[in-house]
Amino acid sequence: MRDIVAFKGKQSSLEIEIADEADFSDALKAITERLEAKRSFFEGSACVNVVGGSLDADQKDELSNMLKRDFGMLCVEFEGGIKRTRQNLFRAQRSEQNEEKPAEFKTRPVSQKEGSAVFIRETVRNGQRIDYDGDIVVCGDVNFGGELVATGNIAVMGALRGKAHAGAGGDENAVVTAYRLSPQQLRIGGIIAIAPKNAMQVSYPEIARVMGDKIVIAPASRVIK
Amino acid sequence: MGEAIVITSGKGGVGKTTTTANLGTGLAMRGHKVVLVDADIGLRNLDVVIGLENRIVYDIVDVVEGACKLKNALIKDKRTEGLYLLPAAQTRDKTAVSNEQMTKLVAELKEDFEYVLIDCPAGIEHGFKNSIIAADKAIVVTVPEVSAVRDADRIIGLLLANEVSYVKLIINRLRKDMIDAGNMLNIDDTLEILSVDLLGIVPEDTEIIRSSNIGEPVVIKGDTPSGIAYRNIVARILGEDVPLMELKKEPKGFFASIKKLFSRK
Repeated sequence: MRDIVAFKGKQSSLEIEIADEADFSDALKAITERLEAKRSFFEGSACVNVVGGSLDADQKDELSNMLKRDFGMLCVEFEGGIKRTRQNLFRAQRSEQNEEKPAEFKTRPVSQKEGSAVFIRETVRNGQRIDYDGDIVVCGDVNFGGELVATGNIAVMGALRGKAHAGAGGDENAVVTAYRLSPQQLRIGGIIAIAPKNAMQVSYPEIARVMGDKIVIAPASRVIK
Repeated sequence: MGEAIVITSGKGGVGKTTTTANLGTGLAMRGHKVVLVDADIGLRNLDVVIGLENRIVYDIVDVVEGACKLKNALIKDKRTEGLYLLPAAQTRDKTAVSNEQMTKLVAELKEDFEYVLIDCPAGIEHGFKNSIIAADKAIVVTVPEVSAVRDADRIIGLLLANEVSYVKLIINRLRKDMIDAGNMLNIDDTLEILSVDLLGIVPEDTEIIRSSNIGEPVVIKGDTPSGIAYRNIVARILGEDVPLMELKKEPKGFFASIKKLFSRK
C-alpha cells in the first residue's frame, strides 16, 4: 500500500504530498509522526508545500497552524498539485503579509522580511545561536561555532567567523554582510557555500548574495543598488 | 568577606589545576588567606599537584553531606602560611554536590578566606555549572591552539550568560619559537577572537611537569620562566600594574651570540 503522506525535499522547501484518498486525521497523524522523528532536522528552517489531499479551508488552517506551532515551520503553502516557480512562491508570501494591498514589486530585489530586525549587542560566541524571523544585526563578532539564522538579511558589524543562514524561509534575495566576512559556512535560502581552504583575507566590508544558483561575495561598496 | 574565583577552560589538559595551585600558592605567599577548592570530583588532581595527597581525610562530599565539619576537611599547607585545600572526593562523581550545596559552601568559605579559588573540571556539564555558580570572577585558561581557543570562547559565552561578568584570560604553554615560525596562534589573534582582558602569559616550561610530579608549585621558587610568569599574574590579581613578560627565544648561531655578547648591559 502506498503511504498516505510522502515527504519530498525540494531546493528551498519541503514538500508534503498527501494521498487524495487519505482521511484528514490520519494524514495529520502521519505527518506529525514523520516530523517528530526528525524534529531537529526540520525545525525552524523550512518552508512547506502541501500537495494533494483535497483539503478544505478549515483543514488547511489546522494543518498550517500545527506545522507552524509544533514544528516551527516558517511558511506553509498549499498548492493543490500545481507546481509553482520559486518567484511565485515569494509573491504569494509577500501578498500574504500585506493582505489589503496587492504586492508591489520594486525593480531592486528586496528581502521579503525587510522591516523587522533584532540587534545583538554582544559577540556571538561558540555554541550560541540566534534565530530570528526577520533581519539580524550583530554589533560585535560572530565567532567560530556561533550561528545566525534569519528569515531576512544578516549584517555583522564586526568579524563573521561562524555560520550564517540568511533567507532561512527560502528567500534568495536575502543578503549577508559583514565588516570582515570570513564565515565557516554561508547559507542564503537553500544554497550553501563553504569557505575555501585558502580564503583570501580582506580588510574591507563585503556582501554575499545569490546570483544564479551560487553565492557570490563582493566588496560591499561595489554592489549596485 | 573574600572573593571566589573560578579557574576554568572548557578543554581538558590546558593547565587549570596547575594554574590554580600556582595562583593559590602565590597569593598565600603574598600574605593572603587562600583556600583552593577542587571541584573535579572523581578525577581529583589538585591535591597531587600541591603535594597534599597523603593528608586527605575528609573531602568536599563529606562536608556537604554533613559527615564532617568544614574546618575538619580543610588541609593546611605547611610550606605556605595561609594556604588551605578543600579536596575533591575521588570515589564519587560530579552529581554528589548540588548547585545549592556549592553556593552555600563557597559563601561559608568566603567568610573566612580572602580568596576562594575553585578548580573547575573540564567540560560544560554539571561539574562546570557547579563550579561557576558561586564564583564572583572567572579566570579562563587556554593554550595557543585552535581547539582550546574555541572551547575558551564557548566557556566565556557560558560564563557571561550565567552572570559571571568579570572574565580574564591566561594564555598558557606559549612557545615563542612556534609563534615566530607561524605554527601557533599568536597572542593578538587569540585576544581578538576572545575579546577579553589578558591576565598573563605563561611560557611552555618543562619545569612544570617536574614540579607537578613532586607536588611543589613552580611559583614557590619563582626562578623559572613559568614561576616568574605566575608571580606576575598574582601581582596583577592583587591590582599591581606589571608589564607582560618579554618572551625570549635563545638566539642561535655564531653571529647571534656575538650580538648577544655586545648587547649585554
